[in-house]
Amino acid sequence: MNSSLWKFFTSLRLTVVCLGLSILLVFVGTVAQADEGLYQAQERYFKQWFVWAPTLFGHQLPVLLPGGYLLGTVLLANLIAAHIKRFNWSWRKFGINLTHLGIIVLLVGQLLTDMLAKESHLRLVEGESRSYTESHREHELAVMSDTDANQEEVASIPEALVARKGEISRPQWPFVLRVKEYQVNGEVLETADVLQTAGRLTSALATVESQYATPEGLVAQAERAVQTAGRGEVWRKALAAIGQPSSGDLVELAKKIAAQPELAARLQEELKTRFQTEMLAGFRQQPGATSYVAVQHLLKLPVTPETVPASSTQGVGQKAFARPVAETKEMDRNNTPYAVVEVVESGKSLGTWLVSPWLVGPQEITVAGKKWRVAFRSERTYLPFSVKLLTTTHEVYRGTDIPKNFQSRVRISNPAKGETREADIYMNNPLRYAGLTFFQYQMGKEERDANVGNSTLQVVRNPSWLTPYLGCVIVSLGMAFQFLFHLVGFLSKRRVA
Amino acid sequence: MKKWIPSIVAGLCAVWAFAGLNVPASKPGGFNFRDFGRLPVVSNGRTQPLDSLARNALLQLREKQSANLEPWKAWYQRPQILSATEWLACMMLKPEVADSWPVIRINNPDLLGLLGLPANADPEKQVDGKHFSWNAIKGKLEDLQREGQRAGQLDQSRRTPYDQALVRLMKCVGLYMRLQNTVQPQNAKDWPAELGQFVANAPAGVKAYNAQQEKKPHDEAALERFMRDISRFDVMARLDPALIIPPAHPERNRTEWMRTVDALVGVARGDGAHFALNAYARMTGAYRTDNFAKFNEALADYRTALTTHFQPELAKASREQRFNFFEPFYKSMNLYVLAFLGALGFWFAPQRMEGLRRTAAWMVGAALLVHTTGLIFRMVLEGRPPVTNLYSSAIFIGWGACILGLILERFWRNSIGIVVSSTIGFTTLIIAHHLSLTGDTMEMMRAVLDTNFWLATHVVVVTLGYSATFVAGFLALIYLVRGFFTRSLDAATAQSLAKMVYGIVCFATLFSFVGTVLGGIWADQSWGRFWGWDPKENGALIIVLWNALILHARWGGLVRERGLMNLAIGGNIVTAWSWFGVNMLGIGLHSYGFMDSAFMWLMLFVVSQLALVALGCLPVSIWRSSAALGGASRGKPLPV
Repeated sequence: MNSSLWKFFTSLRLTVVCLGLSILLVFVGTVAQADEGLYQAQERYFKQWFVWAPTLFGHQLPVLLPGGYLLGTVLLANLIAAHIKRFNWSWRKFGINLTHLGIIVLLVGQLLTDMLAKESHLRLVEGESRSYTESHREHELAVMSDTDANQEEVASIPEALVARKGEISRPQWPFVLRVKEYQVNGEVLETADVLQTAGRLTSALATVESQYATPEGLVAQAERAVQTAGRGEVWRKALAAIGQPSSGDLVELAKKIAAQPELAARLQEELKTRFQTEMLAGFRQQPGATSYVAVQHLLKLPVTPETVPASSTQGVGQKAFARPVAETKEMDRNNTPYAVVEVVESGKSLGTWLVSPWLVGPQEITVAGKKWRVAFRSERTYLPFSVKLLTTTHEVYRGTDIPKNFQSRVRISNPAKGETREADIYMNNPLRYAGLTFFQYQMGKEERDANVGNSTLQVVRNPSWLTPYLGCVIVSLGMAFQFLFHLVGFLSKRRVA
Repeated sequence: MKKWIPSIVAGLCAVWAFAGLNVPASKPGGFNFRDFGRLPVVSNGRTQPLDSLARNALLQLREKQSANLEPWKAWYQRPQILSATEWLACMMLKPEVADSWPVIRINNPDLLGLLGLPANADPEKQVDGKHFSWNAIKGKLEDLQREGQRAGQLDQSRRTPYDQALVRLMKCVGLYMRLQNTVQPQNAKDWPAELGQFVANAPAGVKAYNAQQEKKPHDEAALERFMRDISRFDVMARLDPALIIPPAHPERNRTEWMRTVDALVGVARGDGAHFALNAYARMTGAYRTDNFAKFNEALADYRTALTTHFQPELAKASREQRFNFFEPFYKSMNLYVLAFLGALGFWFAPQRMEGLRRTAAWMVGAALLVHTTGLIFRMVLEGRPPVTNLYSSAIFIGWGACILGLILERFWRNSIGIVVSSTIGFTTLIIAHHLSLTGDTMEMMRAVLDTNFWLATHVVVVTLGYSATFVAGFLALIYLVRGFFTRSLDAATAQSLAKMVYGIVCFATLFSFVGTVLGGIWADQSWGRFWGWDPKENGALIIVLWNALILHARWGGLVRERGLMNLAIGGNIVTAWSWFGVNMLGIGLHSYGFMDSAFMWLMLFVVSQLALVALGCLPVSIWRSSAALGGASRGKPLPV
């Protein structure tokens, strides 16, 4: 072996440099979470070989940092190489060797976890039973058909395959799916709802227009404005904007201005724009069609049946309008994709269907006299057993919003093993069953109030979950041994002196 | 005799501190505030005495645990000072009097400007420019509301000091109104009579209300009286005051304490008037007429009534009141200062001042005893391991550092251990005091943290790791300051300091590593992820990595004595960051301890440490101790 390379990998200097760089990386990666989001920062800094242009307190720095994988690998190599070179058996070194062995176990364990662990969740209403878990982020296009009365066959196509927009076929299908359109994040609106909301907005804006159309109207509106604080505020700002005194009795001021036609016209215009702007801002705050309509209005784009075309020729999409939205960056929000697929039976198109997790439940497609169901939904992992939520409790401390306890009582039924058992799952008390661990997920106050009788369980499959426990024990023993060894040596030396 | 002086001095100090365990009885011929102060109530989700409610409120309002009614007077002019309970009694029972007491502290000049309050002290006009009464600000409540709402909507990081002062004052206003609506509606003139009328009128009122709902003929007068009362009570309900009425059915559920307004609604429902409702009304009536004999009688009757079902709550409240009067952390802070002064004195004349050093060492012992008692008392009160929040972590870090310092002193007997113990002990207790200004320090644990096992292992061990890293860093500071600024750092002292730092860094590595990994295991137990790159986890990891870096740099001969010291000072930065800095990011699962005003202090601390490291990098030849060191720090590597 190249001796200078060997020297490099066995040197303590390399250890110190790697530790220093790790400190830097962890620090930068932590601070960046505030700007980039917890999940994104993890992916960008720790689960990478290199990091280009890290963010520090909101500023991008043009430097290249080694990523978490690189540092972990080099440290591991350094650790192993140094031990091969320097290893000698003595009590003096025993603790140090043991410590480093434990650290190797920890590093390897984390790598395995990173590769093998899978997280999903199980969302249940009291009394509901499920035998599958759902992924947080991944979606799948599921195509189902009944094989007999109570059996269904599911073909699941991962989102990545849908994203490629090609043709998808399966041997058991008498048809081919052609993905015509795919968006990683989008929203599906009801066409009728969009048009109706657009009408509502237009008429509301027109009402404002008519209210301030005449100088007499000004006085009437001033009387209204006195009643409500928000309106009064807008009035005073408008008065200030046209260079008029803005304090004092609004009705008096309005009367005075109404008498001067030129000034009145300016105030009318000013107030009209201000109230319309406020109204649009209010619309924008609301979800779905309302916000869409407001934005279109601000962009001066019309909303007519032509501009909100049906997304597909068949199924729910005939009455729906899907549009792309920017990808989400936040930790606790996910993208909701949609796709338009064409079903082709021996070269003949049966029409297109809109599929998205926005839509509730699967849609039916009849091909060659047989019924198929399609749904674009959260990726499912089927379990060989079912979990039923019996009861769930959310307690807070009396007189506060501080959560005291979240608890779910579930029944596991495993027909293959003839096993039925009940268990309580609460914070710090997960259920481990069949290689999976079920954790109680804790909800915030608003989420809790909106989901009474619901419980979400976090489900983790991590075959290497024991490695950190093992590594921890080994390292602790090693360090404690070394520390005591030195302490005893130190004390006996002092006693002699 | 001379041999015993140090221990006797320290013993006297300890006696002074422990005397506080005795809650002084109220003067005969006056209101029995001692017993009033230990009535149990539920606030912030936990049972506590009225005394705690009062002290926490005053801490938030004016950063002190007592009410100074004449803050414009200097201490020697003997301003009138009320105990917390005395003040609270007046707030709750006779609010119109309390409204004239200057108990709301406002520091920000812009905010004073908004409220039209004088920013300068003027004893003639009875103002001190900092403390103001409710009467002084109530005229400007509308302006305050408007501005406060604006500031409240701003993102925490974008608030100016003025905005922060606004938000703080808004909280104080809420707290103030809440207290005044705890026992009676704030605008009550004669509560016992008004309550009596409400109870008498309630059946007729409810009947009339129901009839009106069904559009049937009804008693207009009864309905009007009833609705007027209900709307007053509704104001009380919206302020959400403390729960002072014990559960109506303790045999079924002990936790269902009620607000006064809940008990009043109970009356309307036909439950009859709760005995506590009447008891508080009786006390209110007696208090308002200055009839202390009647007040004390009503109070004694209420306490007797509570003994049948609420003995545990009464006992808990008395214990906590005792703890409040004990003030162990305030007292040990004083003792730490005395010990520090003694240890410094020794450094100036080590040969002649051995007695002073021993006295200081005993004093640290006394302080540690008081500190420990306080720590254990808190644990008993909460039924929890020592560290449950940021406040208690400060107390525990100081405690751990103090013990480490005493151990060092035991071996080296050169006063360094005493300086370490007393300075870190004092500083952390000061930090704890400032953290306590945000409210109750014994708040309940949210569900995810509600596990004594992990709090006792992970949190305690990792906090000891913080302690040790700070001790190592502080030893390095002593090395640097004495070496650079004085001639007192000789080669022997320098070598002993290096040994201490090395030993403590080993200890810190062990504890911070084990603590961090235990945290990972806890995370694995509670949400299935050993490591989630959460800011607090990363902070702890940085401490482990930093300590490991120090040890490896030292073993590899990359640093010697001086380099070791500089790296150890870096440990202070890393630990302070992990302790406070990550909470300021406001993200992740651990960010329950958010705080803003500490940010400036953290920055100052970091800058000061960096400046000292820079000094430490200057050549030894320009250090004032360079002759005494004899070039030792440039010489051979240290023996491992």
